[in-house]
Amino acid sequence: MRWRPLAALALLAGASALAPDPAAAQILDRSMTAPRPFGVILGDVFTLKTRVDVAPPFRLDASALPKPGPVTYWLDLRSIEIREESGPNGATRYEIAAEYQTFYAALEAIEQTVPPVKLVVTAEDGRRAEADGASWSFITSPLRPIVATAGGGSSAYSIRPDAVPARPSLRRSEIAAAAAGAAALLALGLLAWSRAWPPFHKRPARPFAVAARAVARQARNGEAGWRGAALSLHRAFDAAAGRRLLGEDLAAFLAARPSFARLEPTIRDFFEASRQAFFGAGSTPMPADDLLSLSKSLASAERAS
Amino acid sequence: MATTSIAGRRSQSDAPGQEPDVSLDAWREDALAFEAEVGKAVVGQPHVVRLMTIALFARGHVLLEGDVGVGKTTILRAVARALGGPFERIEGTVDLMPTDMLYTAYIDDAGKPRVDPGPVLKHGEDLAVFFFNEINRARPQVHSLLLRLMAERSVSAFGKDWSFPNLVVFADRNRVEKEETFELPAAARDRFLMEIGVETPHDAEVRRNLVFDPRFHDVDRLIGGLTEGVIDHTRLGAAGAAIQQAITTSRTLEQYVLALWDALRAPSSVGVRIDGVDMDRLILGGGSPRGVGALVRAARVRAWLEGRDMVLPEDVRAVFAPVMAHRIFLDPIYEARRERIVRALCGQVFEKVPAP
Repeated sequence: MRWRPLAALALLAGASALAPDPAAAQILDRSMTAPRPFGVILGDVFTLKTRVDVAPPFRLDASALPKPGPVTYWLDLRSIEIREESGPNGATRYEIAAEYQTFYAALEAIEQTVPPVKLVVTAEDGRRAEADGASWSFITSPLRPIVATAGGGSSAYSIRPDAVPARPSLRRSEIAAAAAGAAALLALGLLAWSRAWPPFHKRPARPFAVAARAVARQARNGEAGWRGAALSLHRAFDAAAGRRLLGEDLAAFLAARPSFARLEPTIRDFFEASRQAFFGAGSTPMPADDLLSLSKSLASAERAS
Repeated sequence: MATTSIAGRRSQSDAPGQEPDVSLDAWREDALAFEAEVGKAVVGQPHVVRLMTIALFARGHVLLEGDVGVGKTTILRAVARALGGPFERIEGTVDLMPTDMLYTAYIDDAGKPRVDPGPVLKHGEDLAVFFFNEINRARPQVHSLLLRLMAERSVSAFGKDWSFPNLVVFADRNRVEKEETFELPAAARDRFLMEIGVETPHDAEVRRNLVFDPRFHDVDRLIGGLTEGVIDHTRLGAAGAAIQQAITTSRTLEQYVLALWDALRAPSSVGVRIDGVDMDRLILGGGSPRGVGALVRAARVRAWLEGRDMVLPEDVRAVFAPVMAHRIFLDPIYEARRERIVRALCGQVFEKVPAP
């Protein structure tokens, strides 16, 4: 239903002339509320509410009210409801809600009037009184046909396409997500690098960590094991120095790598022992345990550097 | 001096197989004293003096190379002076003939032509140092005579063979001039134990001394001020042999030296890379067996000078470039850049070959 009741109700009691009231003593008060009286078009449904206070012993005769159905050729009464309650001064208050639908096909804006309902009150003793309810006039407007305007065609009045939903840019979020992902990968890579996890477990920057594992594996396996362990350690020194490190280069190496400086005496012992083992009499003057602890110290010094 | 009298000067004392009565420790002290004595005249070149000492005790000949005026001749004269013994020198010129080294021909007071012994024979067979100045100015004929003198320490002259058991040949050449010079044949270069590059000292104080201290201006007085004969040149051979006997090389070191040799012959096999050089075609010859033998000889002497009885990779490294560099033969297209390439090659070989 296009027509909606307004919040502001018009009190139309005075708007239409109420007939002289022979039953004034019985019908104490009449009033009607109605929607706005304009802008009504073909097919609109509206409700007129009439409030009637009836003095006892009279009662409203519901059978005298109109029945749902056509009222005039252009007006239908769709339903009528009566609500009864006690009113002021012992009166009985009736609220009659009549729902109409107009089928008046106006060719121009024109005033129409809904005929008043007849209110009949009766008493037990057969006394009877009548009164007219309020009539209600309204302005009804024609339903304008859709005119094909010059050159407009149907497109001018066709349904507009749906509004395109707004697409907020995700660029910032995408960049942020990518940056966070990259940072996470980088952090993982750095952690792996720092801990010498694969694929960094053989990286030259951590040669002593690798050597320490090799030494732990070999050092105690007799003469050959000791030599293999010493070779691993030599290779680690080579990798740390970036070239083949010989005993005579130790001073320069230690000067460049201060983190190893506190191990200097042991490192020198190792090089001397290695000289004896590989180039001298072939003995292994450095015990395997010392070699093992040296390799561990070197690995931890390397981590600290 | 008649030619017949020359024969009488032939040394009778070099009986072969004579056991040397040598204490290597005493010899080492003598060697260090010798270095110190030479160092009085030669400043800022301690490594050159050390290499010269090594060459003397390894009984090898030395070729000095360097720019003009860096003190090559002074070094050689100082070494000859401190070594003692007969010393002879000759200047290489383009018209020098081999016979000029052996004979001196002149007209005597009576107007008769005379032929006397030349520079090589003048001191008989006791000759200790023969110094060939500007060797690359001499012609190949001269080089080939020198080749025999160096390789066999003998020459034929006056109808017989002369033997020089105590002889060392020092030669120098400057690398600035290339005109009217003759490149030494490979065989002659191979006979030099070492080719030592002499460079201007880098130390500012040393350079200031060299330029402003009048002591260094008069070379004759400078050399004359040195003690003569700090070591006994006639016993150098025995000392050298004793050193070669006493200093041991372990199996590991032998493998190391052989690995170095292999790396020198096929540098790409050990991953040597030099900018702008096709490593596969760089090397024509990477050191002869004689060269590697010389390397070990020199390394033994170096170990002995350092007070050890075993050779270490450090010893090999210290003498490697002087002993081996001039025995490496490069593809001709790389010869022009030889110095830089060979230096990089020797350096990288030591970086790539693991020791021990």
